[in-house]
Amino acid sequence: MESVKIKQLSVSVDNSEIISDLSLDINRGDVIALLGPNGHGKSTLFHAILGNELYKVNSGDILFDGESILDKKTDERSRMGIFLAFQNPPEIPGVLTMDFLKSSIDAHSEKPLSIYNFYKEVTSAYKRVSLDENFINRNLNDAFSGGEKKRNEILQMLLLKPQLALLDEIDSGLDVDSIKIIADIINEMREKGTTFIVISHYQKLLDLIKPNRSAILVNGRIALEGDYSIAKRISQEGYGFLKKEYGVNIEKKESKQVLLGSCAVKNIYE
Amino acid sequence: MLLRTFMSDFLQLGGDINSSLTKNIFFIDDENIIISSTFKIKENTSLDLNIVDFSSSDTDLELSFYLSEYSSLNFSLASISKNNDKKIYRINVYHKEKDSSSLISMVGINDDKAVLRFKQYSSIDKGSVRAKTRQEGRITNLSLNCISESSPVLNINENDVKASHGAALGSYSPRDLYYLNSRGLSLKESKIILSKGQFYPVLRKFEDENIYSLLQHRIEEILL
Repeated sequence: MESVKIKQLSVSVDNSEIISDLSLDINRGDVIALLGPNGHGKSTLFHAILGNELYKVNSGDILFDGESILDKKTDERSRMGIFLAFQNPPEIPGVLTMDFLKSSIDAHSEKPLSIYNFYKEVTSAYKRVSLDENFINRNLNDAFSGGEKKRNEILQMLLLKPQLALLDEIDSGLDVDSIKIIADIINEMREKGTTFIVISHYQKLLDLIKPNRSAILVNGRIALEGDYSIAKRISQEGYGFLKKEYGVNIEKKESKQVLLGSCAVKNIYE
Repeated sequence: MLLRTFMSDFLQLGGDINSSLTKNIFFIDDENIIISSTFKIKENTSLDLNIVDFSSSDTDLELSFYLSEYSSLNFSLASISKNNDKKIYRINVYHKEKDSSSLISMVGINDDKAVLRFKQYSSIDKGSVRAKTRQEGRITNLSLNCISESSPVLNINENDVKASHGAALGSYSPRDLYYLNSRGLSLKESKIILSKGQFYPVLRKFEDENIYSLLQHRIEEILL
């Protein structure tokens, strides 16, 4: 059964089209490795699915359980069961992790969780991600290390129990043991029916979770789909074979000038 | 009403501070606040004064503090201005003698067509060596139609001192809001959780759990 259907989606950021006519069908329980060169639209696709207002959908549709979600706000999409583990979660001083987690869980429940059950669930989740439970008394992501932030994202995923989890480079900057912890959680949640789309530039995590599908996103569209063997091949050979065997040109993204005040100009790739 | 009178007496009367003390005062009703008073903090004494103004009214509060040798003032304010409220706070600190210190920290949220002004003035007299003063003002605007001002002024007449100030006006970070939305919190709920976070450094000084909860609830009541 289809969990998500992306139909001919085009998405712009700052009037620049990043995703062009992209289609992808995702079935319930799929674990998809979403691969592709930097700057070709992988994270943009995730933010478009979650409804970030900075990402404008020009055409196409996103169906979640058969229902279009384009008119839904980000918080509504979250409550429908879509979760994004951020590549760089923001640090929010003053906001206690405990208050944030309680509010998030309650937002996903019909009635607020009792304090007893909240602590029980949270304590267990902290153990699962191997974070000290005293992190609950700290400000949200404030002064967390890179690895602690990533594990805090997975902790939230455990607590919110999404139907669809989008993991944006959840393994970057993690040590081997932490990657193993995250892989175990993904495998466990997958058994219970959660669908995953995973962006990763490292083979280690993918080897541990063994995605049943791979999708290669190039120039804003899915250039190649297949099983896990494609992801393995990319880790060994890079993206060069796409042109030779499938005629896919990887277009160099145009650089855009960003003004830094009035005294400096920096060239970046979008 | 009694509660308000009892607590605001300290502010209205002013006078000499002869022994170190902490005062936590809050306003949550709808009566205007007009207070102008002066305190003299005697030598080797400290005053820790924390004010929360979550009233639905106009406020004109002017407090002046004269600091003696080895005395210190720690003043913090949390304020919400909404609808057509006009709230102005003038905090004046006069370092009259050596080794005195002051920290003025004011945090506010301004919405609708309200006015919120923080005016901070600190002077350090000649001869007040090793005096330290710090002024902080931060206002978050929730509307394009509100008027906000954070104005720190330092008047320094001695060389061997430490003095600094910071002022910030702005709205909530869209990135922070998006992150909270992505966890199922609506825009309003996200703004409330960020507001509570912004006020937390002041509110945490209210150690009475009932009062702390009352103030938290008041934030929700005003901003929802």
